[in-house]
Amino acid sequence: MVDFATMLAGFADAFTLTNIMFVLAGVLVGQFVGAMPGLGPVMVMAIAIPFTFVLNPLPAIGFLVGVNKGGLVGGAIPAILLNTPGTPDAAATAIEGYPLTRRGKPVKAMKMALYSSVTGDTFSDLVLVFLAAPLAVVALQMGPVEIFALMIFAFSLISGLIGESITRGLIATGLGLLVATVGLDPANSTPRFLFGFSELYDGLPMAAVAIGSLAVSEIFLRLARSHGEVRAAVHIPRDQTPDQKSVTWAEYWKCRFVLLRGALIGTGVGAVPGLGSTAAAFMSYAATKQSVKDPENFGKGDLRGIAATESANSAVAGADFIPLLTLGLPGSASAALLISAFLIQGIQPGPLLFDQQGQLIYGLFGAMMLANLCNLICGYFGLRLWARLITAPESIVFSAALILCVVGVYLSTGGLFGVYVMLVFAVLGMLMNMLNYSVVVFIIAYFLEPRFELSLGQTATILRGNPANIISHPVALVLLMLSLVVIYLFTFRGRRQQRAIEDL
Amino acid sequence: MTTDRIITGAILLFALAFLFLILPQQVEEVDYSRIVPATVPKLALYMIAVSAAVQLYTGREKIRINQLVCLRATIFIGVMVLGIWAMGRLGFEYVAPVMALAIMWLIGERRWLWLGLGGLVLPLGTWLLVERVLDRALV
Repeated sequence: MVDFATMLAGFADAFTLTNIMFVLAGVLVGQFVGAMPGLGPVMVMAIAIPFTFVLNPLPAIGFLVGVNKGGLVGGAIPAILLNTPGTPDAAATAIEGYPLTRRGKPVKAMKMALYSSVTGDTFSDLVLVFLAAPLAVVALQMGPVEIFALMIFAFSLISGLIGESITRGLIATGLGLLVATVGLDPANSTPRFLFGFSELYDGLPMAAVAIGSLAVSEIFLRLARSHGEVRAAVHIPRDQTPDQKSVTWAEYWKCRFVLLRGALIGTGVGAVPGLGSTAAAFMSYAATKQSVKDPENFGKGDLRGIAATESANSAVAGADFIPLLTLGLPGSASAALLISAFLIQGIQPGPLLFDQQGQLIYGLFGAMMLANLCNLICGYFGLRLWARLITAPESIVFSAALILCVVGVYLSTGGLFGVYVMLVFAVLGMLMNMLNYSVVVFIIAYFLEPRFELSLGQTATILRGNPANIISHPVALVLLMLSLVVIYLFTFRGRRQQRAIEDL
Repeated sequence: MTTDRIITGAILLFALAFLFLILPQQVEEVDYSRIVPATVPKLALYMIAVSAAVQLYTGREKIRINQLVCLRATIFIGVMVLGIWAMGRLGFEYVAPVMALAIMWLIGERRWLWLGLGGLVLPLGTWLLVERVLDRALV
């Protein structure tokens, strides 16, 4: 599908000085924001997207990938030092990391988290490089009817997996689809839901919706919940013994099977839209604890626990790209944001990418590998710095983030209207958060709506307006039936969970 | 009746009102196409309405809304709306530092060094970077 010369040219693009600088900057920003409890890479990716408009596609996406990957490493630092995960996926890391800090080995724990994270991430990136192109070939065999059915399946899966219950997921999906229909209808070019605002003819500004619902809403909630407290400083003594501050090769090698299992779990979970890195980390931790001979050591600061969680949650980052690049389906908030970055750059993610933008895709793969290397180097030399920075006051971090949100949306939309739209979606996101409706599901549905509407139109034409004609499309039929099964299973799961909680 | 049920009922009402009152006014009718402009909005609204109805009947979740958090969030939103409105009239470089200072003050920051850094250096640095270095107009 993609010839060898194009692959090499793509990898060569990734290693130009400009690209290296952007990936490095992304990793540094990612590690910093990951280390700051409350910020997180998703929020910063949302804020950064408008600033990447002016860049070429590869440095722009390379930077965002760097932020995402850096955040995974950074998130473990406050989890280990303060028992406060910087990102949700690092929550499992705190179980083993914090006890190690209390035993006087914070640097050792952070280094193990770093090595495990880079190992898991590199593994899943390699799987992506070797698997994505063949999967894209399969995906290209699918027609509009199959793609429509696949999107229905993805919506039902994401609605069930992310969030509290399937009904809440479906409500969030419906809301995302509804919001995305604002503007001109693609088939007939007639206006929808303009409410007298001529600025809405082009639809709601993508950056304003993403930043408002993902970043500003979270900042408002954090601001409303904070009371100006200053986090305690973490002092790491300089005169530590090698055992306290280093992970030896023997210790790393002892964890090889744990790392491999974590990477496999993370890759598998990442390839399924909706499961997410937090689930991967806890699954890997549980699997490791069950398989070892001395499970009583877990919870007291066992390096294998850190290896399990960090390799799994970081492996999700690479595998997230499998549905994104082969089917154009994002499985997480960060993947949805990357879709918006692709769209802003004029690139439609999906199987055709390998045909039309092969060099860019292999450039992206190169940038991902580069980001892993940068993660290792920056993490190794920057751990002590990040450990100091996590004590920076929330007041300065959040006020600066809000100013950047305003600037970013203003620059990308070219006026204050977009900034007001951002505020509206910040309020919506905040309400959704407070009422347990997933903002991630909402944003994924919002980004997928244009493609959904297009494939619905094509499907209606192919089926000549008669849904019964779907019988001549067995793959689509199976996918639609699977969607029903998924909805049924998640409804059942919800009731069973409720009963279990009541029994307790 | 629990808070969750009341909110779910409100969502159901919103979906029905949107479907039968707002949608017919805000979406043009087209009768020459298999997929008309109202198809996807209607699908989305039916999805919301049916899910909300099911949730209203089956949901047992208990949601606790912290009124103090809501009040504080409203204050922060108010500051932002006021700040953005003022930016449109006075300019980013004059309003952003005041807005940042107000937010920091509301969070509880009282240390002059941090107030100076977050309230003056960062907003003005952003303005200088965007307006002077990148040469892009900013409000």
